[in-house]
Amino acid sequence: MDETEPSLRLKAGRVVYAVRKFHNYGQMELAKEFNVSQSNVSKIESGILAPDLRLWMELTRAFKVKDPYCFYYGSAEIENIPQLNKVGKSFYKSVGFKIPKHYISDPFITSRKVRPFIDVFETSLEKAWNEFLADTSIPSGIFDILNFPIPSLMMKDLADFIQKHAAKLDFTKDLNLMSQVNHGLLFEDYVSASTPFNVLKQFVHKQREYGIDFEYAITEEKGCESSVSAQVSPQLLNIFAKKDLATNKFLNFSAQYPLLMMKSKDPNTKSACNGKVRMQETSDSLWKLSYV
Amino acid sequence: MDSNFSQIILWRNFSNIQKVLNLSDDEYARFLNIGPKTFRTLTSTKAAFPLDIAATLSEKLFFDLADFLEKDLDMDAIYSAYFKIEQLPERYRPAAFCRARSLAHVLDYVERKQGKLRKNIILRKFQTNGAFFKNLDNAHNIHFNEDLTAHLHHLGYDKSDFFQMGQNSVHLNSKGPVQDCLREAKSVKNGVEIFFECVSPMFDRTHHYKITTMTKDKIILDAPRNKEAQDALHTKIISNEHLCQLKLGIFSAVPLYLGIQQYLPVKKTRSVFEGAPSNVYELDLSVLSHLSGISNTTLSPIYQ
Repeated sequence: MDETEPSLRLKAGRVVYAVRKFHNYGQMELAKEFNVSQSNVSKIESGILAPDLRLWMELTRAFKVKDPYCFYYGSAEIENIPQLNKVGKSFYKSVGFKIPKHYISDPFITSRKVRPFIDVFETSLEKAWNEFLADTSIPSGIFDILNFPIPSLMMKDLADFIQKHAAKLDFTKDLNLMSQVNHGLLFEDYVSASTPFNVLKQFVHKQREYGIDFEYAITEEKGCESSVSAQVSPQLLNIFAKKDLATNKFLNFSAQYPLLMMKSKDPNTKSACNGKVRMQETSDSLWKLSYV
Repeated sequence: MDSNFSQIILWRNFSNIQKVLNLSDDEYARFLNIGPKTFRTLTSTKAAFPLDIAATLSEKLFFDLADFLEKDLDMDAIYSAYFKIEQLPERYRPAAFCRARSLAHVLDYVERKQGKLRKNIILRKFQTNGAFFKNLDNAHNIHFNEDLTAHLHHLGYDKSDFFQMGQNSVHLNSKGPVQDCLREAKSVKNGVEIFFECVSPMFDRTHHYKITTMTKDKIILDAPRNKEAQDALHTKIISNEHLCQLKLGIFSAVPLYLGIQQYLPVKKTRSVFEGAPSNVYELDLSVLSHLSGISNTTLSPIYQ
């Protein structure tokens, strides 16, 4: 099917691979269960072949994928993954992904928060990223399950990787946070269409979908100036040295998510705001973020 | 559903689409963005139906992917989608007592909450796109309102969502015939009267709205079913609990329709679903007591 959109096949293939691994199915088992050949499963996962519609619908239902239309964005949410605060160590042993033992720890963010970074690595840093995955044995499929809880110790390694390569990347330009709009995370109330500040408020409201690495508090609202304080969560402080909090690029950009979202929603033509995000450290674990 | 059976339905739908659109194999292949050879392979084996081709077809002709496998699609709607005829499927056309205005704010809310793609996917469940709802005066029957809200509820939309949809209806009606009508209002009270007398039929005429009591503190609104609509629809049951929430949201926003930035507390005090002869709503006007125009002016004769 060379004539049709290859990206759809690739995205569908990523989802099939990730949900199969999550549910601990081998390609052969999946083939048997859904009455297809193992070689076709392999081709589907590689994006060479589009899945049969019937297979896709049956598979997304059986594997509790929330949205059968997730082939449009190439990642899935799985219904029975527990909430972040209810994920115990046994969860990591129950899933098909082989999570290295030394990573098993309490999570406080989901893949959703990391996914925009992964998209940048895959396009701009492919070789280093693949080497990192091979060296650490982190299963890549976990980043395609948006509500997968990332163990905090794994997040530390991810943050270190980002820090190591940050100079080669332009996150300000490439980090596409709006790609997640179809997950319903950016509910706009009717006032928000022209006020980025409402995007911020909505992010604060919805942040549990991403996990809590920072507790945000809106501190002022005046014209098109907005600022928010980002308090580092205690779990994050257990993992990162205080000196790293201000300098680590992952933490830095991760903290700025709501403001970056505001920036991307800012209709520059209608606003006097220039859409710049400022970050100012006020104490060891408290940052003041401003959008001006 | 049995997979052999679903394959039969799928291929029947695929073939019926070609027939109803009167496309040759080559034309159909081009429509699907595939070459003639691929088309021949696809149709001769009838084994698997690739997701990407199904997605293309579903996007262009506005149908839900699961429905493509599970039920015979409405070919009239397929024809309308292909030829860009802005009409809803047959089920929603007779006894058209509702206007697009009664649902446009629902779709607007869905788009704001979940994005345009999600809204379009939801609409595909009903074999339509949003074009019909762009003209707020387009008419359809209440079944579309019932089906859409029930589907949204199934997708997780709750009571407060429906109420907010109603409250936010004002944003789509800040211009046009609704405002033209309300511009005639001489006082807040008169504006409320005009709203229920002239504006409510611009949303839907499946119920009549009669103000039975109007004091400076409250309005009691009696809403019996429109017998004419009931007969035309061949049903005794019109509406559902989600539509009631939508309606309450709209009533709550009546002051906003009149340019007053204040929602009204509203409640339903009697319901036909509980055996009452009509729905009765109570709107609390006390929150507007600081406004002079709400005082006891005479009700217009139609409410007496």
